[in-house]
Amino acid sequence: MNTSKRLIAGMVCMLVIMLLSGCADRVEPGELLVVTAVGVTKGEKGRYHFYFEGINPSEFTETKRQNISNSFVFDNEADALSGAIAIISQEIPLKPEFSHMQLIAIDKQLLEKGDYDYLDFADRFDQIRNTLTLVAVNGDELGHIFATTTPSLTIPSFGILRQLNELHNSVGGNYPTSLLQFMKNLTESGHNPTLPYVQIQNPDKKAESIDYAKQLNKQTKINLKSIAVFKEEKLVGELKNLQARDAVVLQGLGRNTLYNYNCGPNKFVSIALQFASVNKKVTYKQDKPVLKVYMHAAGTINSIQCANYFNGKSEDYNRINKEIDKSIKQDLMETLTTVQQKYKSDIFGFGEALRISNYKKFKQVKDRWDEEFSRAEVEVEVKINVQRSGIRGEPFTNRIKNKKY
Amino acid sequence: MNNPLYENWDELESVIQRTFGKTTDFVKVPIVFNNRKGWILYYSSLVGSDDLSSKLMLPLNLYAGKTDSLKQFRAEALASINYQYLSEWVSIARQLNKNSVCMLVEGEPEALTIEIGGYSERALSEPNIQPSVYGPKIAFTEDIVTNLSLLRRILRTKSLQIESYDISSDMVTGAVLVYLDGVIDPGLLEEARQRIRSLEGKKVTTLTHLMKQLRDNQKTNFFPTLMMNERQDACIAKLMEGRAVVLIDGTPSAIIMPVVFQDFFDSAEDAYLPKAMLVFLRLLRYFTFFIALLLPGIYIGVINYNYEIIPINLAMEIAGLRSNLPFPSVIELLLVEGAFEIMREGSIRMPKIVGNALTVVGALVIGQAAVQAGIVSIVVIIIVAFTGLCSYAFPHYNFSFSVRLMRFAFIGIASILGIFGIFLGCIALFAYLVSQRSFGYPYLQFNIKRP
Repeated sequence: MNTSKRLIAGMVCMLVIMLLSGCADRVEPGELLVVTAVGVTKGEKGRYHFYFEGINPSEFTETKRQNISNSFVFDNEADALSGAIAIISQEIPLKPEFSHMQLIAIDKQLLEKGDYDYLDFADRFDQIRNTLTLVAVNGDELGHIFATTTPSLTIPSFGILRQLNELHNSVGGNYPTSLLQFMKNLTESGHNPTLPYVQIQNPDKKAESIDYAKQLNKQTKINLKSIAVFKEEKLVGELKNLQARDAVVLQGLGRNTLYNYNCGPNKFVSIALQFASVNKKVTYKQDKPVLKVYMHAAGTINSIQCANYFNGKSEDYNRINKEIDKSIKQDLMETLTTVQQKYKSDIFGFGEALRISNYKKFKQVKDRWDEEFSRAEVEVEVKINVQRSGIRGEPFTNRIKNKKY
Repeated sequence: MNNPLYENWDELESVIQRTFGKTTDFVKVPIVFNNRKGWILYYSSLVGSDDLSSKLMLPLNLYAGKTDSLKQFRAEALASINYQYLSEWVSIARQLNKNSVCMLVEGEPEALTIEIGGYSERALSEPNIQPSVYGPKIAFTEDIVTNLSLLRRILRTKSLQIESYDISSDMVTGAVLVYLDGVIDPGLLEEARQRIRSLEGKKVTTLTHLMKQLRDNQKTNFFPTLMMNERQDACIAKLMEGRAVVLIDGTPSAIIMPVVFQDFFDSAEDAYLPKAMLVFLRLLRYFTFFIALLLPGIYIGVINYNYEIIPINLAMEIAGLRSNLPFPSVIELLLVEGAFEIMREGSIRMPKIVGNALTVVGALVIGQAAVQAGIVSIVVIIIVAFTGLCSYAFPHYNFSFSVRLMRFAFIGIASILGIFGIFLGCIALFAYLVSQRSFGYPYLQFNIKRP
């Protein structure tokens, strides 16, 4: 009697668990549509035009490969991202899954207007990670960008991300801004946001095919060398090439980078910096703000093009240290004043530094911080410690000039 | 006190017939002992004829005529053999069942039983279940005397104490409690004695019965609280730590008690290894324990509920491999797990000559064919194979039984509740392990210490 009662109780418990538990949430990975990237532009029928990059997962297996493309782009127009997702379900017989989404590309025009209504869903939806990378694009290029493969990386969004990370890690040329960071900068004063600006060079219909991987000369390229600059919440312009790099360094986000200076007419000394660290400080000198930047880093000599410039002695190192300090200081000053005068927007986080060090003062100038920033004096101090010269001391150009034998 | 063995010599034969029945291996031989009639009784299945003739018949021929009584005969001719004088048929029967021969002589009120033995036994062999590279190549045998000799040959000390108990319903099957006097905790010793004594009169013929009776928790036995061991060196090591060893006649293993959870992760081999290697192996075994227990469950939980925690490249791979398969992941996993368990069981039961062929062929055929036919995905094969390998890494075979079974419980709960279910299951398992006791010692403690 007792055992049968227990058995029944156990079975009832199991039944209750099975009925009340999350069995309904069960997904089968074979029936998922893995969405890896979303693009947003202005729409015609709906408010926005959404581009999605979906994965053909069978292409990643050895046994089920069909030799079709690894990813595909589909798009639709809707008033909100959630509406667009609902439309996907009507078109593709798979359950869209967003937890592996890594990239949201946003049209420049939307950013220029400061339209962020599509982002609330990304911020709110439990599947979407807030560590995904945001990039700015030109609206009419978006379809091409999501369809153009990079050599060896056959999913376009992977290519962009890998390229962006590589660029950041090796030369600090750009910074993959996460959704979380972008939102933080957007919602706090004292540090205006920036986004990587993705452009495509020579967009070509031919490049939007897996056969393009077979071509040797690939002219269609993704260009990541610009940074989109925001003022308040609106995109106002871009910084290109070395200025973009300087902006990343000044934000304190670049760890490794490369600086050159002239050692002779059209000849360069190139120094690789590691462990770059930037401290910012804001003080007020008679009601005029002074922006102070202290940068220090360890350096390695990458190349010396001038003969008899460097002999591997300690005074040579000292000379190089002084020269590179001067050159970097000049570069940073230029970039800072450009941003000050052209965009009048503090994208470097000086306001944040003031808030941390002098909150009272920051409170007074909070609402007009960007004007304060643009009229501020700038002081840059750079201390680079070049200690290494690779596996060679004297450059071989010296030995060409002073032959021993 | 009680009835004499017989009233009248002539009716003795019918008394014997009544007592021992008509079993064919029972032998009764009439003899003449110094002009008196006598009987020799024994079981031919327990007493070897060579031993019988050399130990009893030869002395009988030489000395029987010269002695007046049975006692004198024993003292003169059979001085080196274990004996008993018995006056009850019940105890005579018991002694006969312990390889003895009984002598009855007309006019003597008591029967003489002497231990002859001499049936054939298996020779000492290498340990099969727990082989080791460096340790002694001797395993226990079915014979209790041999096993005790194996222990005393190493522990040559007077503090090695051996207590014999006649358990089981007819008080014949012998169990032996071995311990080191002065090392063992007196409380533990008393409890061990009590538990073995409580078995007297119950049906205990094998080690499994004995273990069932000796356990603390009689109802549930998800994890073993007593250790079976067939190695001499392991038993000696445990004896020296102050634990008790129980041997039972007819089983080539010893029971070590008490044991805690951690003891199942050290093998006898460990004593011969350098310290660093030992630590590494110990960590590896804990790792394999969690893999063998949880991996299939985690797989199901992650695949079906927490898909987002898989790294993206792996997620795409799995999604690709799982596409267009006929069964849901749980059914698929259970199918492959079932096939693996059948293969495992089949290869044990297989005659040894074909045994090796079966595992290889079975694994190849079932795995490869099932994947190619598109019935199961290769991920599941990898998961099951890795889990199976991990469950072989335990030094103690009966511990891996528990892990094998609990694994299915974890698959079940993960298929309903996902990763959350795995955590719930782990909490329940941990609570269960903490509540277990082995002879009063907490099961989940690191060193064996009584609280």
